[in-house]
Amino acid sequence: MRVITYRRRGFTLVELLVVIAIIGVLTSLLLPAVQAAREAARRTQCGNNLKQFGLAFQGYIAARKTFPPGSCNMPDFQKCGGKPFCGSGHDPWNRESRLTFYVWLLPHLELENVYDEFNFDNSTIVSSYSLVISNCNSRNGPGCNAPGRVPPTHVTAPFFFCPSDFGMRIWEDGSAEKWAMTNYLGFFGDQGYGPTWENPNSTVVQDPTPNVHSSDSAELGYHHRHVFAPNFGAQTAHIRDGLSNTLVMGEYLRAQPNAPGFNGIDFRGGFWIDQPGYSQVYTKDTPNTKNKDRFYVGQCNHLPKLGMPCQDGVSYADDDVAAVRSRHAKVSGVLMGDGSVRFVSDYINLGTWRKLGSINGGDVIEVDF
Amino acid sequence: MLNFTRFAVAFACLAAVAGCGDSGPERTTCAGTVTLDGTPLEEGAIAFLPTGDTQGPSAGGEIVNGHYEVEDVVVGTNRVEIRGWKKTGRQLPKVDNFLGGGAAEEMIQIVPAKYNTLSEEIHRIGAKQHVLDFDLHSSPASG
Repeated sequence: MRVITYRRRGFTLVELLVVIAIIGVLTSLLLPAVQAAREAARRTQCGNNLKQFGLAFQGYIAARKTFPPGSCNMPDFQKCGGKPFCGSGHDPWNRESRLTFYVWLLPHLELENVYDEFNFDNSTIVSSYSLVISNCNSRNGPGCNAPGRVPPTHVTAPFFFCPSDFGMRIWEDGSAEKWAMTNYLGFFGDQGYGPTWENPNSTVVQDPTPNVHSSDSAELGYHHRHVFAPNFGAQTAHIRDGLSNTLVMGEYLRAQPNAPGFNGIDFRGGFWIDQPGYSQVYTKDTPNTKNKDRFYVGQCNHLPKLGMPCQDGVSYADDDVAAVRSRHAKVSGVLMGDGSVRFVSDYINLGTWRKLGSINGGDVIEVDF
Repeated sequence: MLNFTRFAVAFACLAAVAGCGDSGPERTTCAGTVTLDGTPLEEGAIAFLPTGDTQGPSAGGEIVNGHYEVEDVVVGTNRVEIRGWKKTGRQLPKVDNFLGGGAAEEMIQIVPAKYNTLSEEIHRIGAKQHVLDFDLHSSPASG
């Protein structure tokens, strides 16, 4: 009689290791896909935030047939949407008001209460700066920093922030100064800070690059060739290139307080200030360019590894500029004049990009961008 | 073994064709030196902006001690803009009409406008790695 013995069959070490290795490989394949899906969701939400601004612009346009002025800078406040928005005339070099276009969007963003905190009633300058000093002539109180009072420039809303970015939400330095930040800035031209507000002392002259603007737009002057400029917001009738072919807002990256290289002073995305990289982006360079943005000296940190190259450059520089930047894979969200949201490739042709920025160049955008 | 080699070669080809690389126009790396009146430009930036019939995104990078190396320059005609910065040693006062503008050391741009905002530097960039040196002059007479 034969006795059949059954040996308990276990796994050998090699078999176990092989299985673990296979699981490891599969997981490593899966993880990036999961991450990509999460980023895709964030990107969608990021675009949706832009859409909120788009709807707000549509609300503003429905009432006034024009985009709001990019910022309010003295002395020509009549252009600035007229009274009572800008106070009385002041020294252009002090440019005391400097309120940016966001203020006029607030009522259309369901932030009427924040809007009401600004005082447009009299000739007292309602400066975004003066809001942080002790007596800022607000409608509701003697001083903006009175106890329990939140200056409107501190207020943020969730849709100010692109979830793909991980930057600062409110800038503060420990003092009373606090500033809300955003990822969504307005387009102010294809050159830089000086040309956009036609600084008479500017050494920066318009880029002679051909085919950016036709002679048709020359009569309007550089100042009026883009949706926003200081004391200027394009009327819809001016936007002859078509609202759907004209850039209004684009993404930008906020200051990164946790990044190595952050030195405590970086104001990128501080949208209550009327400068490139605060409330303004430009089509001088294509999105996510490695060319450095240029800020007032000491007001940005050069963080090339985070896709935020920057030169904290020249004092009172008319050459200051900021390009559209995002944390999505090779695309950046932009808001068009008709309220639509597009994602533009980093590889867009510079010429096409600049044409999209102009309102009346007679440009036909012949390619899909 | 032969099979494995074949497979590896095929896979490598596939990877190359299917493109682990970026899409977009043909690009190259540009490098070289930048001097201003004979001295290397210590701190600056250089930009390559496609112009004319050349289509593509802008490229750029830093100039450090007179050297630069810029990736992804679009092959074709580019308008080159060069900027250089120098600290003057003068301390600027705190600027009260800027957001929290702290005291900072003044910095000035030292490269003439004809090399940046009004650049006349139009260069044709070839497909192979391109060496392009710039010898800038601050006065028109020496230019």
